[in-house]
Formats: sequence, C-alpha cells, structure tokens
Amino acid sequence: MRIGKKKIDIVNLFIHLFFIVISLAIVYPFISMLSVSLLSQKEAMAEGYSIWPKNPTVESYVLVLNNFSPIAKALATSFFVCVTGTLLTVILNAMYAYAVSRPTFPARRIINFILLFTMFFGGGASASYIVNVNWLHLKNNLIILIVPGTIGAMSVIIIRSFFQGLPYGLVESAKLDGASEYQIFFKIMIPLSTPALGTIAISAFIGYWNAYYAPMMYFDYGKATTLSLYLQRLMDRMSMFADSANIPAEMLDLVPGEGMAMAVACITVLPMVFVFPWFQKYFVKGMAIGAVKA
Amino acid sequence: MNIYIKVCRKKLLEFLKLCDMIYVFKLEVYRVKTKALVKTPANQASSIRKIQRKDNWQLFSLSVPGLIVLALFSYLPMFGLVLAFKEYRAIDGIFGSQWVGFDNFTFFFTGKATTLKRLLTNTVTLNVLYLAVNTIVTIIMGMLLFELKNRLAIRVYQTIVFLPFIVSWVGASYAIYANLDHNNGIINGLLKDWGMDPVRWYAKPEHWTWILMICYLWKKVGHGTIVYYGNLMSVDTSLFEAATLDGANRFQIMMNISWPHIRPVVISFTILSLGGVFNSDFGMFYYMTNGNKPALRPRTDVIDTYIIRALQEDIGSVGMSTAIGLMQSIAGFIVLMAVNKLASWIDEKGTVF
Repeated sequence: MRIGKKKIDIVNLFIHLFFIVISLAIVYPFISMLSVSLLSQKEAMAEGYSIWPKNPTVESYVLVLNNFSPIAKALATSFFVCVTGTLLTVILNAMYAYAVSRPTFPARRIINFILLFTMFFGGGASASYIVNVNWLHLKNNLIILIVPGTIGAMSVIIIRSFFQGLPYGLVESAKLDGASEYQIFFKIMIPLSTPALGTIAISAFIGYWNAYYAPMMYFDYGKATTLSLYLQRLMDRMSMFADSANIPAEMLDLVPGEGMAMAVACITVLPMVFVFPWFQKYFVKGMAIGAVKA
Repeated sequence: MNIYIKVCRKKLLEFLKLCDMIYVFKLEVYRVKTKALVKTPANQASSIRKIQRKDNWQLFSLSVPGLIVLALFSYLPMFGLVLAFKEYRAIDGIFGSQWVGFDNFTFFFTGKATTLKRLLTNTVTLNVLYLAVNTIVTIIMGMLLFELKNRLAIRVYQTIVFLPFIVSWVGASYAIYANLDHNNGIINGLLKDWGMDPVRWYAKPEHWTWILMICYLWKKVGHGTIVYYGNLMSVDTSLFEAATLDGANRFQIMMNISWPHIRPVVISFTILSLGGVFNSDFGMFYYMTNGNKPALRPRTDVIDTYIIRALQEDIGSVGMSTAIGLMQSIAGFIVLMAVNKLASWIDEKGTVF
C-alpha cells in the first residue's frame, strides 16, 4: 500500500517536471523579447542580446514614447478595427445564428448551406485579392480589414447550438405575448446568451488584433496602418539593414534601434498575454463546442 | 397579521396558478394552430399564416447582413476563379482578359516544374511532418495533464500552454529574431560563449525544417492539449475506479480507457487538418523566415507564400497562382474525402461526415 502510493508520487513528480519544462520553453520567447527590449543600446552593441540584461533600462520604451506619433496612430487604427470588427462580428453572427436556429423558419436549410459551403470551398487568395481590389475597390480601405472576417461558419455554429440549448418555450411564450422576431432576438436571446457571445467576441478581438494578412496585402506604404502592420514593416527594415554589412553613417538614423523595435513588439504582444488568462474560460468553452460540432 | 399574510399568499398562488393555466392553454392553442397550419385550407388559417409569413420575413431580414457579407467576400471571389483560365492583365480587368484555356495548368507538367516540385514537396512534407508530430505531442500532453490531480497546477499549465495561441506570427517573429539574429542573437551569443562558431541562421535553409517545427509546436500544442484534456474530463469516472479495483496500473488505464476515449476526436481532428494539407500556415512560413527570405526558400517556400509573391512582386502570373489556388482547394477536398473514408474503416465514430 505504502509503496504503491510512493510510486504514484514519483510518477506525478515526473509529470509535473515535464509540464514545468514545457511551460518554461513556451514562456521563453516572451522573456527573450522582453529582455532584449530592456537592454541598453550600448550593451546590445557591445555584447549582443542576452536573456539577463546586466543593467536593465527602459530607454527603449522612452524612445518609443518620444517617437510615439506613428505608433499612436497605428494603435488608434488597431483599436478602431478591433472594436468595430468585434461588435460587427458578434451582432452579424448572432443574427444569422438566430435565423438558422428557428425550426419554424422554412429557409433555414438553404441559409445554413450557403454558410457551410464556404467552409469547404472558396475563391482562394489570389482570386479574392483581384476581386476585392478591382471590383470592390477596397485597396487602402479599412473596410477590407473589418468586414470580410465577420461572418464565420464556426461562430455561427457555436451561437446556434447555444440558442438551441435554450428552452424553446421562451420563444413561444414571447410569441404569444405578441412579440415580433426582432424583439425576441434583442430582448430575450441576446441577454440570455452572453456566454456564447463572449466567446465569439474574445476570439474575434484576438483575431482582429493579430490580423497580419489583410493589412499586408491591401495597404500600401504610407497609408493607415494597424499595429500589426507597423510591426511587420519595422521588421522588414530591421532585417534589411542586418543583411547589408556596412550601413552608411547617414542612414543609421533610419534604422530602428533593435531594442526599440522589440519594445514596440512587447507593447503589442504583452497586454494580450496578461489580460488573456482572465478570459480563457470562455475561450476554451467555445473551442470545446467547436470541436464537438466540427 | 400572520393569517392575513397567509391568506394573501394563498390568493396570490391561486391567481398565479390560474394565470399559468391560461398561459398553458394559450400555448397549446398556439401550438395546435401552428401545427394545423400545414393541413388546414388556406382561408381558415390565413391570419395565422400571415403572422407566420411576417415572422419568416423578419427572420430572413436578420440573416440578410450576413448573407450580403458572404455574397461579397466569399461568393464573389469564386467568380474570380475564372482567372485560372485566363491571361490576366490589370488593364483588361477580369472579364476583359483573354481566355487561355488550360494553359495556366500546363506548368504542372512542363516549364517551371522545378519551382512547382519544390513548392509541392515543401508544402506536403512539412505539413504532414508537423501535423504528425503535433498530434503525438498533444495526445501525450493531454493524457498526462489528465493524470494530474492538483487543480491549481492544471490551470497554470493550461494557461501557459495556451498563451502562444493568442500571439500573432508577426509578434512571434520578433522573438525568433532576438534569438537567431546573426550578430546579436541570443543563441549565437551562447554558442560563442561555449567556444563554438556562430551560425548564420537566416542563410542556412537546412536548419529551418526543425526551427519551424519548434515554432509550429510552440503555437499549436496548447489548442490540441486543451481539446483532448477537455474530452478526457467527460470519461465516466467509475471506469477508472473499476479498473483500479481490478488491479490495473496507471499505464494500463491510460492505454485502455483514456486513449480509446479520445481516439475518435483525434481521428476527426486529423481528418480536418489533412484536408488543409495543401494549405500551409502562411503566417508561419512568411514571418518566421523574415518575410520569406530568398536564402531560405529551398526549404521554406510553400504554395501560399508563392501565391503572395506572385501577387505582390509579379514574379509569376496571377492566372497561374489562381490556377494553383484552385488545384489547392480541389486537391484538399479530395484528400479530405479520401481520409474520411479511410477513417470510417478504422473507427466509425471518428469520421467527420
């Protein structure tokens, strides 16, 4: 009995050890970013980057704050895109899901099919690009960042299964009292399904915050940028200069200090990392529904 | 006073009961009427039908915004697919460009075969390799996490493992740059400290199969782990108790109870991912390699990065990249179907369709 218990403890210890090692490995990239951003320019030049800065400073962050106007602009654009995109995503998907969830609605099968078909077949990257640019004229337009990703089969499935889990008597009794479908949707369904909508909102927000593909494809240099696009361009310049062996002295000002670039990256990435654990519950729940219904 | 309250409560309850009865009655009537709607002649149920029709219009109007978005951004691009059979020129537009039949597809057999061969081998081998490793690692991690009993520890591990999921590849590219940069990178610094020669990571394609594999695992392991762990939570606990009573050890329990339980989920996840075997994770292949660096292309150039280059730098034709995209989705669909069929022979529960 006693031996058995001890044995189990050892196994558990090893499993804990395994997960601790993995956790450290997963956190390491974040730490390396953070510590490079805390390096002083001098130390970085002399000794290269290191995980433990000898004299950590916030000089990169001060530099970022001094040249804040492009970053502030990008930040504002990012926020605008994120907030409008998330709101639009939640409301559009919920409306669509409500229509599809009502068993008395005769068109629900075809409307559902129209959505699910897009899961399996699409125009592909280049056809979409040409159509969006030539027919819809959405180059350099913020709409292209916000609207295309709003409605998704997965989110509609998640919200729909939540709606269908609510007692149907709710809808029927509201009907009896003479409520219109709009009233039922906005006054009953929406307030009751905040957990599902929260799941969608969080994943949508993360998606919009991290979106790199559309900004890169549709926005020229000098046009409005999101934070993610700003980061990409910074990286482009950085690696370009890293490639060329001797940079002319007058060009040196143009090189974003690498510490500074890392500071911008940290500003972009870390808030999400710190805020996220509080919302993780919703996220995981949504994923579980998605996994079952997939 | 007390009696008064009691009486009041009684009256109130009676009243409520009455309301309830009326309500239930009305509900029944409504149900009967809506059911009868199908069979009764039009003139009898016309008013109810009118209400129904109004409801349906309202429901339809709720789905209209979504339908518009789908029409514009999902279905309209499908018309763009005609470009696969055209020689696209920006001035002529999509319909003005000349038809070339299947010319855009011929390079599958001739011409730039070397590029295509590279793209295809990279896409398929890397995707399959990463998918296989990821599946194995996530199954192991999910099952091991399930073995733990310490609630707090489980939550901490879950959160940490899941963190990279919310970081974009652009953000992650900074982390990898900090580590692998030739002059200042952390890894080269360590190599120098240990008396080894620094490596020009961004010029050595042969390392990148493995570097990208680490990136892939870093980003995706959390998702699978949590899904499998969540799935294991739904196993009937009495199974474990019974097995323990019968003297099964932990490993036996894992192999004979936990694993069979998640196997269908593993299979359906794998099927879905194999459907995308020709579509790679563009963000990873593009940003991790510092914007698809030419030096790294022999090992990291995949179909998706090629398509983007074709659009941005005009190195290939738009028609050709559309053709590739079309082949990509058709081939993906065929693979999906084939694997689904295969899975139905292995485990009926795991199939997607």
